[in-house]
Amino acid sequence: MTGEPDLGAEILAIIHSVAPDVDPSTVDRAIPLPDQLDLDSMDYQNVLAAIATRFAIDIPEADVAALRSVDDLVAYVAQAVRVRRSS
Amino acid sequence: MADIAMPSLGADMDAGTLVEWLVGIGDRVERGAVVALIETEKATMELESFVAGEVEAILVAPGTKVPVGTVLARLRADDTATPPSPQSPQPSRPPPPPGPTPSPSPRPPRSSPAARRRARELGIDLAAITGTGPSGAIVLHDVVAPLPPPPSPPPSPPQRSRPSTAATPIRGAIAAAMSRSKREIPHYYLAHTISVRRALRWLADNNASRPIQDRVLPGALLLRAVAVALWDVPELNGFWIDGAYRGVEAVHLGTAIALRTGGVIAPAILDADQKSLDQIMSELRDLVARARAGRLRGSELTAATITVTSLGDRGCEAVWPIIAPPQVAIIGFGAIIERPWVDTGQVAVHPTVVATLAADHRVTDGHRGGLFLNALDRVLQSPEHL
Repeated sequence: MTGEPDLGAEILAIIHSVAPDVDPSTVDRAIPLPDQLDLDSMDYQNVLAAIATRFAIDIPEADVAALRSVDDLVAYVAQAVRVRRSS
Repeated sequence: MADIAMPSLGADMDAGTLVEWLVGIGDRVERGAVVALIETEKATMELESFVAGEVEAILVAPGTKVPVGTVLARLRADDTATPPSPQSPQPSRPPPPPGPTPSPSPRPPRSSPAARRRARELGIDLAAITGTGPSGAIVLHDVVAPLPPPPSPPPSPPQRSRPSTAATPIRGAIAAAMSRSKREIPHYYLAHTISVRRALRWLADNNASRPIQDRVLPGALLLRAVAVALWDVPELNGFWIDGAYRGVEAVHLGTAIALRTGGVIAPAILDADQKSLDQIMSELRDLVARARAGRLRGSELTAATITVTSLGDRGCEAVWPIIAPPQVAIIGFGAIIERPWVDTGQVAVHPTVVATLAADHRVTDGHRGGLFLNALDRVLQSPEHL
């Protein structure tokens, strides 16, 4: 149900809701988002917070530095959702 | 009876565009309610009603650019003893004849500032576009995508030509304000490198047990520290108007936000010295989000008594900022960078930030400015008190 393609599109929609002035269709999913979209630390925290709320997961501070691209986020959210369901 | 007029949001503003009505004839509005979106050279912002009442007439259609002071709508105020509007509208064109009012036409769809700008540049009617953004909002790529390719693309040069700099309204507003500042304000500049090791450790401990939605970023800590340090040197907070300094008690901290669509705006965190760090963080989060969506209020963009500009984690090491008149000081923070640092006779690696102050020499001197940067340093060494 949460296959990765859907997850990626949903994460792109969240990015667009936080930063309506960026065009999600141009995002390269492998490239770090802050550099690619000129997101500052507040934008990026808003993105991560919206993802955490949407998928009902927490993103510990220690994990934040490794979450840079859409691909990173898809893998992380998929894993976190699996862990939450199995617990 | 009360008029809602195009407000003046700065000395350099002489006109604004009514983008969208959020109320219609017969609607009740409360005092402070947002009744319309307007676009100025600085930004798109929300227009508030200063009286409660019922909308009686809408006099200006969406998309119309009108001079400051033009009456946009009439309200039947609740209280007949409503005080007269503080300043009568500027001399301006008479309102359009009260013929068939343009109001009950369907409201235009929501759209991002970038999309509106592009649509205007291209002469496209937004109503003809289907939005793909949140709640069907029209976003930049909606405006571009349905277009046929340009009739005669230039043969060789890159086809995506950049708009001429002077053509962007926000660039014009920045040019006017910064030229005036450099022409009129005798700036002096000071810099001080501050170790933020204690501050960042305290922040990390403080954030460790919080969900990401509630974590505080270093930028908010720096803002709070500025507000507190201003207690020591309050004369940096205020205005220079008509040849005289006017100090202000309340600290309304303008926070510069770079817009990806070009330009920078500095909405204010009101009474920042009276607010907790968490409150400042939550207001900053809200301001940035609304700046991105073009939903700042006019009052927020004109309230600042002093401004802070932070280059952020992808910036460079120091900024020499320009005062936004009529303010008399601006504080800059470079990126937080690890540097060798002498601590009790030992060299260690500390995260550090270069804090800069540009201040108006008509109001303060370098000595007082230096005391301010030292106070800022001291405050940041005791983050638990912030």
